[in-house]
Amino acid sequence: MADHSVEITEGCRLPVLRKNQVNEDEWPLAEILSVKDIQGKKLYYVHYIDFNKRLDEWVTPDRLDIKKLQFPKKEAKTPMKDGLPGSRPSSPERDVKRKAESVSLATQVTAATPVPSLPSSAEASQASVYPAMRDSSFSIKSRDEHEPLTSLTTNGTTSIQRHLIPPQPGRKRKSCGGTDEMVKMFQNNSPRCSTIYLLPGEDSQDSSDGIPSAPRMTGSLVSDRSHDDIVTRMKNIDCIELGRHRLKPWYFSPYPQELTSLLILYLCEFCLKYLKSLKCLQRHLTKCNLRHPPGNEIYRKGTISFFEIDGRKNKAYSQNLCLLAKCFLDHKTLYYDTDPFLFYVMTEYDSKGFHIVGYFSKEKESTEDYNVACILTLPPYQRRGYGKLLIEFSYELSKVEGKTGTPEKPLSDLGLLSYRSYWSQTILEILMDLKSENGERPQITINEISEITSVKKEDVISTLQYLNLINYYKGQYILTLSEDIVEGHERAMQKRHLRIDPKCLHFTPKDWSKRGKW
Amino acid sequence: MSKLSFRARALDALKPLPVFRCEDLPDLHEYASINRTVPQMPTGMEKDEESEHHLQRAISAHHVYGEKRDNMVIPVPEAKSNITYYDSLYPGDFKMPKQLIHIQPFSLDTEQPDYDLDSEDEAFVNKLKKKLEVEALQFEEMIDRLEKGSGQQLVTLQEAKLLLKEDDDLIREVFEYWSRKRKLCKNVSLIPNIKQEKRDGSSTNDPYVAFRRRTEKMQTRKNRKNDEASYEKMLKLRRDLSRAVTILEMIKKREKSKRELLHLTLEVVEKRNAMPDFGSEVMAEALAMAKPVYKIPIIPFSSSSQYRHQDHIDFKDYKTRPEKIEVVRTKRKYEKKPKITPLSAPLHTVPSLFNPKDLNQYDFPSSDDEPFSQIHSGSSEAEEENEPDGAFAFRRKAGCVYHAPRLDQSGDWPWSGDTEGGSCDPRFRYSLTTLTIPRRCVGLARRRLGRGGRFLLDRAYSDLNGVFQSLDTDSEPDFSFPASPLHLQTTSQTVPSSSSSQSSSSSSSHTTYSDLRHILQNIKACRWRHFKPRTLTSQSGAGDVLSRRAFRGLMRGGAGLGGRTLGPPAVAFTAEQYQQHQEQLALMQKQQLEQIQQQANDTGSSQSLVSKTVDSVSAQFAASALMTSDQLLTLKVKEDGVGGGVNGVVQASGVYKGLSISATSSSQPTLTAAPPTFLSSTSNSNTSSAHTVHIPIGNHGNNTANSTSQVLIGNNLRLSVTTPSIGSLNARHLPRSLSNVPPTALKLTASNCQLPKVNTGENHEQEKQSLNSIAENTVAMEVT
Repeated sequence: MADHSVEITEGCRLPVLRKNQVNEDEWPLAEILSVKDIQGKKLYYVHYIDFNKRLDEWVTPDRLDIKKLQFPKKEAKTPMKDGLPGSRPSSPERDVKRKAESVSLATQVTAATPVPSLPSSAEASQASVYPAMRDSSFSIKSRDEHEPLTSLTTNGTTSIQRHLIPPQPGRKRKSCGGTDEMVKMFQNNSPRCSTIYLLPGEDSQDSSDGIPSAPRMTGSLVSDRSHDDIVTRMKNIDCIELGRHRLKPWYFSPYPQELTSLLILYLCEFCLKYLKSLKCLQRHLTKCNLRHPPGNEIYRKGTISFFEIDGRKNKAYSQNLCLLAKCFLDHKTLYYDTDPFLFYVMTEYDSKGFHIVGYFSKEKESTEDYNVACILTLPPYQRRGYGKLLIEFSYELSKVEGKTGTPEKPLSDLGLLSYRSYWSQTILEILMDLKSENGERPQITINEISEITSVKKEDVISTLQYLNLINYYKGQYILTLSEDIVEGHERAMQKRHLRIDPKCLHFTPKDWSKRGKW
Repeated sequence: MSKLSFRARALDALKPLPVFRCEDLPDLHEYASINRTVPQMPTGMEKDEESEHHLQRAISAHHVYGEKRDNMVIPVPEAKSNITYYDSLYPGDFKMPKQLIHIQPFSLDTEQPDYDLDSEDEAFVNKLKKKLEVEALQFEEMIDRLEKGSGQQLVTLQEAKLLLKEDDDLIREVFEYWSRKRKLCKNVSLIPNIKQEKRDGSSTNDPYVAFRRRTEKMQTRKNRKNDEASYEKMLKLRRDLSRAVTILEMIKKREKSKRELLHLTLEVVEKRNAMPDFGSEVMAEALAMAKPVYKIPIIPFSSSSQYRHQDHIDFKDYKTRPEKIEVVRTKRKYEKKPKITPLSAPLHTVPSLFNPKDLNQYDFPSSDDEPFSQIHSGSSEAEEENEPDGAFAFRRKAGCVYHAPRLDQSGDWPWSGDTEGGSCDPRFRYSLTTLTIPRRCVGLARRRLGRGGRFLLDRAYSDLNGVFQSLDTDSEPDFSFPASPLHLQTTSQTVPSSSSSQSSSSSSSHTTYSDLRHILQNIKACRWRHFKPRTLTSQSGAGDVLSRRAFRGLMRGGAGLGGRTLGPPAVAFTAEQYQQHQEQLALMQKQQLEQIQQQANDTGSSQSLVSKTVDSVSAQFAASALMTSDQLLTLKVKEDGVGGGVNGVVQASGVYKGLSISATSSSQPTLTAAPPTFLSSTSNSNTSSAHTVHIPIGNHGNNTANSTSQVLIGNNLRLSVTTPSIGSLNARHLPRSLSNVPPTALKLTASNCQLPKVNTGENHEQEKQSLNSIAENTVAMEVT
């Protein structure tokens, strides 16, 4: 199929064969992100549209359905100047800077896709407002297929324009009102955004000067501009060996470039140092005497322990941990050093030592009530309740601190599901335990829930909404617990045997605002 | 739609929400449509991802089934946990400690090489082992050092030998192996490292660059106070450090020149040895040829004499403060020393002034005999105990050549005669001198022109002194002061000083008067070479100050020599005094200008009369004030005086130590001249309170100010003046001058007040300065 005369280049779209979880053949539409030639055999790096990037992969030509090939449109160079949402940005500076071999056709394709007339559907409105966050060409399609847009879209757009029109640099770092997402987007991705949404005549301002703008300094999940780079859109490590596990990375991670060509990248299980060969690992292990993360153990119950690592004091480990975590976190940025973060590493003990299961990082001082920056359960431990344990632990820390907290945004798909699940269970636990006093209905305020759980108020509300518990009844809001919810919750709680025991936590929060302690 | 016609209230987080079971509310569905009014919360995901297929499927699955189904889970790339050799890699003997693990800071810093041997290296090492003794770890260490030793350029073999401790053969082998391997690998380093950011900022977008430094400051808003304080501390630290650097550089310079000196000496010795000059004749010859020419710094010789004759340093200067020196030594208060130690005061010397301390300022006791540094450091206490002369003992000064006195030639001073090699300037001859106030002849004296045009009178003794005293009979009737006993008494005590300040008695107010008188005097003086001192410019109040100035350090030994002019005039001027003088000169000039202005406005005669009365009043005033101070008092001066309404009260909580202020006759003229100064200082303190008014005469000055002023003085001294209804006379012209006095003129700096130097002649100097003094002055005055 591939030896047709047509050349499949980056940016082309076509159905690609992949097996789904139940091992059935699927032909989802995919975009070619990169092509490489190994001993005369071509390999294509494909991104399945509407699938998470972690499923992107190198495929052989025989998995491509050439007959349905869509070429990228050439006129895509002109971005949508009318400020309409939905056009994939093709900011000139990116195209210029992009390396020759990775001509960004992806962007061109998208821009070329005919812009649908303002669609209308409530659910997708947000999606269409922020189509350009990354490789979002598919968002158009998705909109067409499932979720037409509402008039909200326009609202969103205009509000964005309003924010963007004064192109003050200082503005970018401040939140200018609006939803979290918008704020975040402007803070981090202003160059890109401006290219998309700028009014006619203004589009060249950010892109033409070519002055690279650094991402904001706080937080850890922000995608910087390099995120846009085609390089970062492709996995660069094939396989990582960590202890007894072999992990297939999901995303790009900036390990030393010379190590990306390895078939297997070896990590020391305890210090997480990267090594190019098993021999090196063996040699390293003769010198490395760590058997646990190099920090203070602040929690231990059974075999589960938590270690606290200061990103400033233990740079080597923190960086190694971040590099590993980046393999599984799309939005994590390693742009800046680890100094302002604490890392809480969850381990499981056996006779070989304390094995890392997962971790979360946390800003020492968060201006936005974040109690978690990045959070990850390593793939071998996923879907076994460890994620929830990590989340629970993060809220236990917040309880000790006497604060409410929320995870840094954006959440990943798995992050959203985990957090929602945790929030739901935590809140339902409280609601079900409410006893009616002197015969009246039990009642509780949102703030009370927030205080008990350390879950930020907004998250409480969103969870209540998500669970459909808030109802308006006879002039007031009430919380209703349906039978389904109650049963589902009871079932879920039975399965949840991994819990944090606050009594085992030995943690005194530090006042990081006192600079000397850094 | 009817249900939507009303708006639901916004969800209130503070409002209790009743919790219902759905089965209890059968009619709930009827209200369901209103639920939409609750604002939709964002999920927190990026929107494009939110729409991803698997997530949506998982979410909907959750909605449908209430829990996750396995096939509805978001798929992720697989992970395997079946590494067979795992158990052999990691030892399985780790025991969980009973206690929570606590990491000691820095315990993690092990000195292990970062480089890890790979298979290729292993083969090489094994091969090498046959020839040389080498271990894998040792090899790793060597490579590690080579890698870390090379930046852009590789380490050379020579450098490698310096870097590595091993023996040469091994180094050569490993080096060759390493450089070969390094060339083959295209990477920056054999130790894989995360890409660092480049300084030029070109790496901003390089996706492989990670962990950049945060260049921007983190938010400091929360602890702004803290930041300011620490900022100041940092500034101070920086200043101190830079000072240390300066000192170190000076030391370096000094040691360099010492080394140079050593080399030169060595050279000389070698040369002499080669010559051979064992009898040091050649040396002597050479020395004679290269006789160093020391230039006496060009300043009035009265002050330079101090440096040429250090052993003669005016004894009185020290006499007044011996206990102070003691105190300082025992306390060893480093910062205070510069102020109080006799010789270290002029840290801020006038540049033109040559000062021995400048030479020694950066010297340290490490060097040979350096008298000043010893005094500075106080390190030679024990030594001093052995020397009866203490601080006044003669010490050789580095860089000075001391010659034996030449008896055949007494000097080439301008006043010595031809026989002595002098120019025999008539100005320096002793002649009969008459003082204008009191009207009497003081005998033989000679006049010298001091700095700033002041006159110094050197008196000489002669047998005819008694005759001379009687010579001066002519009187000037209209120039009389009310004779108070005090006045007389003090006058007799301090003849030389009063004589000169008398000359200045022609203060601003009676200009026309004194002009005439001086012309007369001049005529007389010319006739019989009878000198009667006079002021330079009769109009100015500056004159008296200047002339009074001239008395500082006036040598009191000269009179005993009976007309012989052999000895150098032992007039001691210290650097501080000079500086002080400069400052006062500036002030005087200002005042002079003001007074000229005044005179332009006022009619001469009435003015003069008025001021004269004031003069007498103020004289008494001052005298009484001084008397009280004389008794070592906590001052409480109540003055009524002729002026009547003067209610000046000085309250001093402290005691004036060692300040023996005696009212001299010369204080009288001072007073007339003083008011402008006083006033201005007072007014200034009224407004800014930066300046402090001080001691008795301050009170005096305040009287002239027609306002109530309360002045806080640096050290516990409080001076409060209540409405002087008098002042009138002075006040008439003084306010005008007030406005003209620029603040700079008021700032007679701290150094002005050098208490230890107080002698009778300087008393009013002291007093006056103290008026203008700032807080530091009070320190110098030792008001405690």
